[in-house]
Amino acid sequence: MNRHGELVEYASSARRTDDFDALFAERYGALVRSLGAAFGDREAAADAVQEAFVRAYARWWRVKRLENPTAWVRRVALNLMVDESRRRAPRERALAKVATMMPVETPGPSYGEESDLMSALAELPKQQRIAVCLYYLEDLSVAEVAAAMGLSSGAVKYHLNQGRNALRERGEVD
Amino acid sequence: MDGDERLRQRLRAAAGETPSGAPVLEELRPRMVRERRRRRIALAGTMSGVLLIGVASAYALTGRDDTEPLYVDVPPASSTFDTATTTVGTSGATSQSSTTVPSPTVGLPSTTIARPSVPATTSAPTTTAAPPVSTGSPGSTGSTGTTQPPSSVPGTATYDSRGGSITVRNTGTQLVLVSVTARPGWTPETKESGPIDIEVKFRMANPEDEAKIHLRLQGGQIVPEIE
Repeated sequence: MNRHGELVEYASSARRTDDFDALFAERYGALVRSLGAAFGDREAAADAVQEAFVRAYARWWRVKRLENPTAWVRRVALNLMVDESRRRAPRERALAKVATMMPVETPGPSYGEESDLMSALAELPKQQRIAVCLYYLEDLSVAEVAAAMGLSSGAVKYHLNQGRNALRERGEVD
Repeated sequence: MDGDERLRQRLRAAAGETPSGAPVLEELRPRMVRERRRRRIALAGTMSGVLLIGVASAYALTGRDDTEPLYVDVPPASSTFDTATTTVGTSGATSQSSTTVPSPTVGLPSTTIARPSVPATTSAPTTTAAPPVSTGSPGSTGSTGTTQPPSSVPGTATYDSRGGSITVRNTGTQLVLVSVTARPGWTPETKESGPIDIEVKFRMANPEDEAKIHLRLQGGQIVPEIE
């Protein structure tokens, strides 16, 4: 289990809960990277994480008293990303339909560096993608991933297992 | 190195570098300050609203509601109603006047209600108010509705029936039921169908009987109908 990551996050949260700037500097990049990988859009992830931090700042007197302020920010950012992906889903479906009718060279995902692993990840169901990215990229424990996704630990374990199996089938995992 | 760790490293390599937060934070700071200010204003507004509602509720709970009728229990020993006074007040541009009229004398247990033999005496010569009187059908068990002349002056007036009496206040635009007084053995039932319409029924269980006072505001005047 990601004991190291868990300890790092709790220790840093306990140490700096009253310091918004420190929290931002410490967690912003990791949150953008994991959510960007999970949703395949780093710019949207950056917007969502920034919005989450803005909201945290507006109610910092309350958020800083939480046991883990980073978890609050992560949950808000994740919800924003899920909302955004739901909003964009019809448009993306329509664009995909047009693309199949008129095959043109489309630019790659806004993610930047294309890789087989990221392509394989993008084909996973949303829950599996989010679970895999939070667990592996942010070094969260199963319980923390469950808290961020609003699921039970058992459900997160299931999604992680399914995601790993799917990546293994594609030869991305040994 | 196990499969989990290899996957972690490959994912990190594929996901790229973590962006630096410091420049973003400086860029974001004005927006954060704006958002905090906006939230504080919203919170202050909400708190003010809650406070206002609280004060209004406290006031409503402590002060008596004029629209709520005041029920007066009449002691069972009292079996006769000799007289009652009806005061009709007016507020005019020139003067205020009040008219005191005798109300009908009712003897119980008889259901006969006598009309007042003496017409209203008016203390202010400029104002004449028709007394609200109640009638019944003497000696009959059934009831007959009687529409009385309208009470023309805004103010408070009392209307009698066999089952009891009610006091209403006429504001000129609406009727407010001030009190309901049931005679011994009668139970009042209030039905206020609107600001210009008031109906009070008095029921007696044994022997079964019913009396009704229906008041309607028409052109600023009360049109009573008493059964």
